[in-house]
Amino acid sequence: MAENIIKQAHAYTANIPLALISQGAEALVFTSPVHPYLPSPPTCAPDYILKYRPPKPYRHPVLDAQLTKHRTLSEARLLHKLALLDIPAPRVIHVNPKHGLLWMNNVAGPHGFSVKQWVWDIELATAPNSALRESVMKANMLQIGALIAKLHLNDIVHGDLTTSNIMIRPKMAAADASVPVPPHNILNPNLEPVLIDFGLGSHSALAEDKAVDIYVLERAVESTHPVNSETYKTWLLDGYVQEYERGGKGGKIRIKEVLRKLDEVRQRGRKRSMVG
Amino acid sequence: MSSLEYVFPQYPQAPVSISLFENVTNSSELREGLLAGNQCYNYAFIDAANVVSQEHLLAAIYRAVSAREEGEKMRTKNISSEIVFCMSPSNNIMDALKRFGISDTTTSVVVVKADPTHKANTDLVTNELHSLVRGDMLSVNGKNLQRFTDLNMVKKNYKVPGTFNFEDRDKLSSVVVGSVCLRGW
Ligand SMILES: Nc1ncnc2c1ncn2[C@@H]1O[C@H](COP(=O)(O)O)[C@@H](O)[C@H]1O
Repeated sequence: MAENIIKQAHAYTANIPLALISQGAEALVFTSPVHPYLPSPPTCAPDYILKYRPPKPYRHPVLDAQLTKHRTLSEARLLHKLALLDIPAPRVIHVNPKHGLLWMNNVAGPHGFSVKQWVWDIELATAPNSALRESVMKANMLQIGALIAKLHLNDIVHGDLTTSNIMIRPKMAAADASVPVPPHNILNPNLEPVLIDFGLGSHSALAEDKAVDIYVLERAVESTHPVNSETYKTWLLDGYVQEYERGGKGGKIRIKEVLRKLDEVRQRGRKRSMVG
Repeated sequence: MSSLEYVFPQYPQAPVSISLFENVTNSSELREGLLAGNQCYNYAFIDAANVVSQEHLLAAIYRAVSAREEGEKMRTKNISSEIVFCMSPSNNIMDALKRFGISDTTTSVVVVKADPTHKANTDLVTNELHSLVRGDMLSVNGKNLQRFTDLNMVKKNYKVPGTFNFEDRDKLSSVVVGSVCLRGW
């Protein structure tokens, strides 16, 4: 089954080496050192990502083709929108919605990691309650909160915020890609977060949708980083609120609305978990 | 100086050749030849002022070539016009050819040959182009391609918001590549 789907992806990308890195219900994700149309860098680094939505045999073929096309395009359009807004996210390289193919750059690069991995690594490498851990962790959690706020202030919601869908990488050295990337270092003070996987993203101006986005992330933090989750959640939300407040009076009105909804959503969540 | 022969890894059977000219003095003649459907003019002539980067140009050529190689329906009458059309973020073909193709006042031009029957032969293309285009040929590379970009034209043609930082060529390139990829689906 999986073998077969991987074969389909290869059939669409003849002569391009692909390495499977993730297999979800919706899509397969491959890395590749080969760009579909640019001269490939000699480094052979897995710089490119191909996300492939295979046909789903359990769906009606016509409906399935429509859904695949729609979802591939919708994700690509959101990524394009984010590029226009200069919000860090994967860049679109090529799209074939009919084949369910979306090429983008690998935002993790050779020295990036998911926030999930990064937090685990820091928790291992630093002493609990140490000043080092606090300073590194807090700075980045605030940045992540601010990044999500930027998204929401532009009326885009992610739809599936988890610590695996936020990557963290050394800050780009200006525009000049020839400047070497700093080496792999989880304690690098110059990291920046990047959002990935906009497969469930959408446009929404509703405070409710934004509150749900945050709530989903809070739950993800609780389950992946149980020991310190309260602290992390506080920093994330602080960063989120501060970014809104930078927008002056309008921002303050909007954040109040989101926080009010967030309380409601949390309460609903608690009730549900008591029942179930 | 000669044309660049370029092969996409997926389509070794369909190499393209790309050339770049500056100081072109006969663009109106070239345009007339194209309009008359003269077979010698089976090239995509792109106004270099619209080209943001090598990535941008190759994204458009790749989109046209991959559509043809995957057996999809062409939107224009041949691969040359399809490449020019693929530079455009809009679905209006006439408008795309006017904005991104050659005009009487064009002085720097990117010329692309993607005819597989032609068996892209660098020397042949180079010679043919030297007799068609009156201008100075440059080597095709990222640096030369970026020399002719007219940022105001790019801003207008791709509807890039004024808030965007146009100084960051790398980010601008990602944005126009996105527009090229998303047109018309
Ligand atoms: N643009 C990207 N850059 C780096 N890693 C990615 C990218 N897209 C997907 N991934 C990886 O593939 C996994 C699954 O992708 P997705 O299905 O989009 O959530 C993610 O959790 C990441 O580890």
